[in-house]
Amino acid sequence: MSQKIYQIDEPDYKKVIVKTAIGIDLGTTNSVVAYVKDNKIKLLADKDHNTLFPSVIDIVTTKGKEIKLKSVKRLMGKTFEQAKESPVHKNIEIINESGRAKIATIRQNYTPEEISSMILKKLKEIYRYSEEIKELDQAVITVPAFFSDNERQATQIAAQLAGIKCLRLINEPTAALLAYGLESEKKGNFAVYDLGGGTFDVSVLKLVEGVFQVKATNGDVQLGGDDFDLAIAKHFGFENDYDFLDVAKDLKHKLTLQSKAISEYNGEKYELTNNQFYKLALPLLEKTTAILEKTIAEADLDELDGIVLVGGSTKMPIVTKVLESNFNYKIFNDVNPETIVAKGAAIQADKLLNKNSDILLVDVNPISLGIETMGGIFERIIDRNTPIPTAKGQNFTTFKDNQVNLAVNIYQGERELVKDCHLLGKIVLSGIPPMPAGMPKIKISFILDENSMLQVKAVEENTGIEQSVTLKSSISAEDSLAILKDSIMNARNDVSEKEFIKSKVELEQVIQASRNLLNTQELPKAEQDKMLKYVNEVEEKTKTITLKDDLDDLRFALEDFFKDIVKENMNALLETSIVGKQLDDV
Amino acid sequence: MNYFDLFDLESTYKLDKNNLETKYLSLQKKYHPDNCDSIEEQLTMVELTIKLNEAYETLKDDTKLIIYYLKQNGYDFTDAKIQSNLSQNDLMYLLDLQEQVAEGLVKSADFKQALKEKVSSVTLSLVDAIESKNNEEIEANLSKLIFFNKSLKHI
Repeated sequence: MSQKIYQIDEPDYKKVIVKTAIGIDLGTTNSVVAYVKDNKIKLLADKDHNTLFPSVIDIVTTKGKEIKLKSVKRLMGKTFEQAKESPVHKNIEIINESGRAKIATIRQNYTPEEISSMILKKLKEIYRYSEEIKELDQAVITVPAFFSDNERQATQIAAQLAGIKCLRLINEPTAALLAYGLESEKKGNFAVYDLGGGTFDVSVLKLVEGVFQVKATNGDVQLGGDDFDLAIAKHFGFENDYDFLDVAKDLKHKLTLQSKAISEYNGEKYELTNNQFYKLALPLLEKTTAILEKTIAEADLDELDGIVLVGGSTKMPIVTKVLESNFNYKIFNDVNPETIVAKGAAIQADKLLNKNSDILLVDVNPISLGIETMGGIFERIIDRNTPIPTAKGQNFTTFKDNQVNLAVNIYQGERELVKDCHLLGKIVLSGIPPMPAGMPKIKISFILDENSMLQVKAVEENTGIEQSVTLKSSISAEDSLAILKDSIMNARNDVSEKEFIKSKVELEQVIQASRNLLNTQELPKAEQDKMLKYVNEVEEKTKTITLKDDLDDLRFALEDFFKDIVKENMNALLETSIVGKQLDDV
Repeated sequence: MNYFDLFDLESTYKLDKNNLETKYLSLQKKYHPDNCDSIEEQLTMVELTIKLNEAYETLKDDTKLIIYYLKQNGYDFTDAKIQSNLSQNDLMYLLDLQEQVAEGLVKSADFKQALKEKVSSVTLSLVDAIESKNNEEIEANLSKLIFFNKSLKHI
């Protein structure tokens, strides 16, 4: 890493305790953890030296199918209506729990936050075995720059559930440039093109004298590597076959190195050439170049020194190809696009924990914030790309004569009507003295701090009455407490999801073995019927059981039941055969 | 403390933007809440940084800078005053454009571009008026500038 930054331990520099600075890139496909140790940035590796940990959780669907639940990041902070449209979650059942999306499993329904916290817990588990760091209890976590407040809040809840204090959420492209800028000791203006597994982000930053100033940011939270897999699946007519997505991914991966890829599925061979893939990928890549162009324009800089590629999906050679043909900028694809984000998060964690003042990240508000005015119009108070911390105010008045209450609905978005924006919360200003419409002077102020936490205040200026609220997102404090409580109560279940699956598999094996036994043993008809009935009953029960212990009890009972009866009958059989043998042979 | 004082700059509508940025960055490093050690300091730092960001956003933009400068020098305007200063031509220009956008004859992006050009040209006229100390022209152009700048923001 940059020596400039991490040689801050000069002899006269007194650091009482250097806290371990950890950064987590909680990705759609893979998660990465980086930390600062001895002024060096290191990646967390498991015993097999892996540094990329799949963001995958094993679940059993309501239909009893064991699957790997992937890309849960795409469901974070989404309403049920939004989540059910997710093209890569056709294999799971998403249910509506008071508007919130939950993932149904055979045991219970999980929020995306809970699933995400399980991924974090898995990372914690790996940490426990690492030699250098023993605790993963606080970290800077990265999110897509274009994540809304709801999506950010969901990420914070996931961290909380996993017992990790979130020092700050920082935007993925910003984190990437923080690490890249320091590693390569670059200066100037750069666009970061971040195409991950499920999200796409662009940020334009200016790097001068250790200050990383975000100039503009933009993105699409539903566009990433997953969508290229879907395009391939569609090409072969498998858009509704979830299992084919792995084949599509395999073809895509092979095409990063060769011009033609072949993969097998259900005994059939599927072939894809680079040219075919280019045609499939182009519409998706054109979406990204349009966003990139817009963001560069918004940054309003005299010149741009280059485009830095990050995110696993930029490993597809066509990304560089398309960018080179569309833009006249230097393309930097010399970083490891999969680990750079976590490294940047660790640098920011080090800055926040150990007060390293050599670097400073000046971030912006990524999505406009405002309120609903008459007719459902979205009135912006804090525009996007405004540097934070910031405070902005605007005056409003009442619509009706003698209006004594005023509801202020707070939204986030870039559309003109609130119905197309995200609702973040509301405040009600009551006790306005009766006045004709238009007379009250109500000042609404928004304060967005350096942690991107929003505080909204409404003051009636004639009387001085005021009301304020601190918002993190539409999930109110009570809601998030309820989620937390819910989750603590289910904590045992969370950890034991895997154990549960194991028990279920064991039970299924015993059931199967029992059936085999019944088929091969010549038992008296009455006994056989009795046993078959019992096995069927057990199998029925298995479908409704939600606790591991119940599964185990059932298995023990089945084993015992079989042992006794089989023993009895086996003895009888044995006796006859021995008797027979004796008659014949002895 | 006004924005110029905050950056320790001379009060003028012709600022050296590079110098402004250098000052902004060094003040950011000094006052950003991430660089402060104690919780007691934190709140003051947040307030200062908010003011710093606000000042920088204003001074780095030619149009906002000139409006701010004139307001500092006693040219303050109410909505009513701006309207009375606007000519029929200015209003018609905007209404015409808005109509053409509504009918789909002009693209919204082109409308934005046209307004941006209008804002730049009014800014130039305003600079001329300030330099020739023509008070009437200053008032007329400042009204225009505020009006078109607001319209631009509301696209």
